[in-house]
Amino acid sequence: MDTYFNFNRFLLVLQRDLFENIKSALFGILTVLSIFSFILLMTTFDTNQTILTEFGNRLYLIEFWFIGIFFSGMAFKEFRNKEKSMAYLMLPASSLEKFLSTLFLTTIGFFISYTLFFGIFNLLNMGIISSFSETLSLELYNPFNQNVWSSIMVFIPVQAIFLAGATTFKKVPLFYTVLYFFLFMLVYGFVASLLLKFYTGKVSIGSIGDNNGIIYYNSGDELSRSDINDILSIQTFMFFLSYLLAPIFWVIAWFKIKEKEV
Amino acid sequence: MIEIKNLSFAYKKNFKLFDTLNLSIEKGKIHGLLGKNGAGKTTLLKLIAGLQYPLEGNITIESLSSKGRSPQYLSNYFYVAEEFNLPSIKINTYLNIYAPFYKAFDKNAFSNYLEEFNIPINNQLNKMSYGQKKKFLLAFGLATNSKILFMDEPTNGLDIPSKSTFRKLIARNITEDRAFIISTHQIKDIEGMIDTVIVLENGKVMFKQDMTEISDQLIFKTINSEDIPSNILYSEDNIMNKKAILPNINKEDSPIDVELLFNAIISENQNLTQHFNNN
Repeated sequence: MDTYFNFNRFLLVLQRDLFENIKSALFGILTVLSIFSFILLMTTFDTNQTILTEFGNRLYLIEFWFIGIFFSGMAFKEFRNKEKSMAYLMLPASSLEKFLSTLFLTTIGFFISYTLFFGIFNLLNMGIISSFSETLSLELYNPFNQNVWSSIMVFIPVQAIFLAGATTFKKVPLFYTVLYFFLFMLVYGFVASLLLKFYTGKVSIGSIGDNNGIIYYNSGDELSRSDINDILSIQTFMFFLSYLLAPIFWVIAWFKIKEKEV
Repeated sequence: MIEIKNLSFAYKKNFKLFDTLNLSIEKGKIHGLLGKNGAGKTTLLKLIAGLQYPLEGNITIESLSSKGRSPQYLSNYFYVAEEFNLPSIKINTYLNIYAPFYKAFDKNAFSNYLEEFNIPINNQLNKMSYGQKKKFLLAFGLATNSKILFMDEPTNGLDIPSKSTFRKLIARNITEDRAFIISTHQIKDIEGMIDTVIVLENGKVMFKQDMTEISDQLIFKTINSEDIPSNILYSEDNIMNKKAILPNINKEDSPIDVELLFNAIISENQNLTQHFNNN
């Protein structure tokens, strides 16, 4: 077991990854936060209170996605340089520990540090706006709200895809991941619509029945329970896909690291 | 310590760099790995380090296979590569991050080695010259106390005093349970320091002998061009005379000219190999 995972060794890899990437990570976070804060402040005096509050509220998620995807898509930078790659592969730790360290930093580590810095910038923006305007004010943003959690649930599978992309593409992985991601979505959308058509025919969701259940119709005829089960199995499949997508791509990323070893 | 059995490796499908190569590398010695350009010295080191995967055969360090690349296997050695990339952090930070991966790391020894190489410990790694970086890596590698230290062209980029310091440090640090493997073209830099000469040629180990054995078997002499002994094994023209390798019949002491020996080996001199085989 110690060959595959050792907690102390994992902490050492985490420490190494943190120290070697902290400068560029902080630079990235602070740059994006500064740019968006600048835009926010520049538009402050040309806008009304409602837009300002909405913009302020959305800013957290816009920047979160922007920076989060960038970090994940550019992770494992060692593999894009021959000498760095050699040093990384010779580090006495298992590929699982190396993978988990990067996964931790690009998910939980990123969420904590980003939220912290966003909070600081939020307070600074609040101070600047209130000192220049008596009528306008920016609310302190609470990142622990339902919108953020829902967004994170969507962000995680996307993060996994970009992390897998970072281990797959040697040059500009972010660009190629975006490209392949869109191609995949196109193919996926096409296949999914074909599957739905094949399974359900011309299904339409109808009225609410007497027992408050939804009545489904197929070309005007009410669907039987077995037909509905067919549809539900697709929904169950879609549900599992949403939850399995992230682990699947994380496993792909880990296997890609193992592949680089050989 | 290192066992290489029936190793085959190829970069291209129709050209095997190594074909059923066998080699045993013992501990307690400094091994000089020599060969012409493209002979496969660096590739062999990478294969032992687990950075390349053999097509066939097996490489083990103390019974652990290179194919597994386990953390235990990786912590058995430290590799000072010819080309490397160091992170943009200070030496002290590097020490705090990387030293804990090597259980036997000696921080005091590391500071001493840096001092001997004249490198301040608060230097920023990416701002140092190539030679300074190399010296830093050599100091770190020695301080890891790992069982094997691979050095690929370790004296490249080192100034004359640093080469001398390097030789002293290597000689001082070899112990019964460690092995140092130096791959180089700069034979003069490691002459008098190595215990074993390993010559790679055409994907094979063409020659592997201990220096004591070479010294017992051969004598290196400068001879007159017109007075060539009949039992000469190999000779090379010098400015006024000839440098020659002869059988050491009278068990004389002579400094080993590794460069001459290497040239004799790669010229596929049958006399030399026959001489060793017969004795």
